[in-house]
Parts: sequence; C-alpha cells; structure tokens
Amino acid sequence: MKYVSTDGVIPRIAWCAVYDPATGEVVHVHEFVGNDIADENEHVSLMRADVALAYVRQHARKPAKGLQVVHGDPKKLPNVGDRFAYDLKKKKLVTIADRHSVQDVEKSAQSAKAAGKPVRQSTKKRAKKTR
Amino acid sequence: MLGQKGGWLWAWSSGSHSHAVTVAMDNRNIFAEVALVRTYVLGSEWMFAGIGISQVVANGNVENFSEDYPRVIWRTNCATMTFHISVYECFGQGRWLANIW
Repeated sequence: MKYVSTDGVIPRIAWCAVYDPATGEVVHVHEFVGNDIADENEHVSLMRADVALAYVRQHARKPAKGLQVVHGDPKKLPNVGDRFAYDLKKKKLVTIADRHSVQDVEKSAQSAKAAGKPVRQSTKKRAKKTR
Repeated sequence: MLGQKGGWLWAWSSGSHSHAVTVAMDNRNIFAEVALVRTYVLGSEWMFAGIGISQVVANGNVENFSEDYPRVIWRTNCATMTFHISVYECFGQGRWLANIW
C-alpha cells in the first residue's frame, strides 16, 4: 500500500512521467493525489504536464529543454520500487524489468554481510552488468 | 487534529531521477513532514538522495522551495503541498506525512 489515511478514504490519484524523447529515459515521475481531482481531459492533462515540467525546470539536474510528458494509466498506479522508461518504438510508458529490485539488493546485501564480504562490491558488479 | 495521511516516494537512478507527489489538502491547517527511509548505491563512488517539501500553496500564496528544502512545515489554510525525492546514482525511498488540523 502506498497511501494511508486515518479517514480510510482512498483518494483519486493521477500521474505522469517526464521523459527525454531522444533516449526514452524517464527523468521525473509526478503524482497528483486528492479526493476532488478532476477527470483526465485535454485541459487537465496539459495542466498536470505543466506542473511536472515546471518541477523539472526548478529542481532537476537535467535541463528541461526538449523533455516531454506522458500520462500514466490511473488504473495502473506506480508501485514502490517501479522504474519507468518511455518505449520510443511502442510510443508508450513501460515499466523497466526490475534489474535492481529492492528485494534483490537487500538479499545480496544480506548474503554479502553473512559471508563477510563488502556489500558495495556486490551491488557495484550488478550495476555494471546491467548498463 | 482531524486526521493524518501519508504515502511513499521513491526514485531509481542511473543518472538523475526524481519523484514528486502533489497532494490536495482541502484548505486545512497542515503540519507535514518527510523522511528518507532507505537508499542503495548503484555502483558510483558518489551518490545523492534528498527528500523534501518543494512547494506549498496556502493562504493564496505559492511558495517554491529549492536547495534547502523544508522537511517539516506548518501551514494554515493549505490548498496543496508537493513532496519530492531526488536521487543521483542510487535508489532512494522515503515517506511523506500530513497531519490535518
């Protein structure tokens, strides 16, 4: 569960991702949470895209120039640990196969610790393999 | 206090990546906070994970924060609040929490 509240009301959540159209790399994910948030329509979509791009302009290290926004399916909300990319061929947002799943990293850290090995080494090897 | 609500934020990175959540606060008085839960370095010698409150809309004013983001904030008549996590060369996970008055 990625949202909890004392009133038990599950709010409506909309989301979008900002990506680099040259590489498909998603540089920012933005969620909008509220009981009264508007249904997706052209105006609302543009407004949300503006908010996400404004965020990237102000906070991200990657320049916002040329970046584009894709809206996520409100029925398929991001789960903790999900990684996204924009598939330039299929022209849609996809979840990246979990090469660095939280569980995997935790397992390898635990087994490295049990074996008395430095934890950083195992995660470093894993990261190099998948690049 | 009228109640509380909260949720997760996370970001993966092989470069830089961020995740923000903008929450409608229905013009309530809000005491909000964020906390970094865990990070994993993905192979770089240098990594960064930061979490904070990046924007507050309250009392008709828009406050944008940068660099030294507030991690705890109290605002009356709050319309929306945006929480964010930003990472470089690591995985980072955190949580946001809003106490509603």
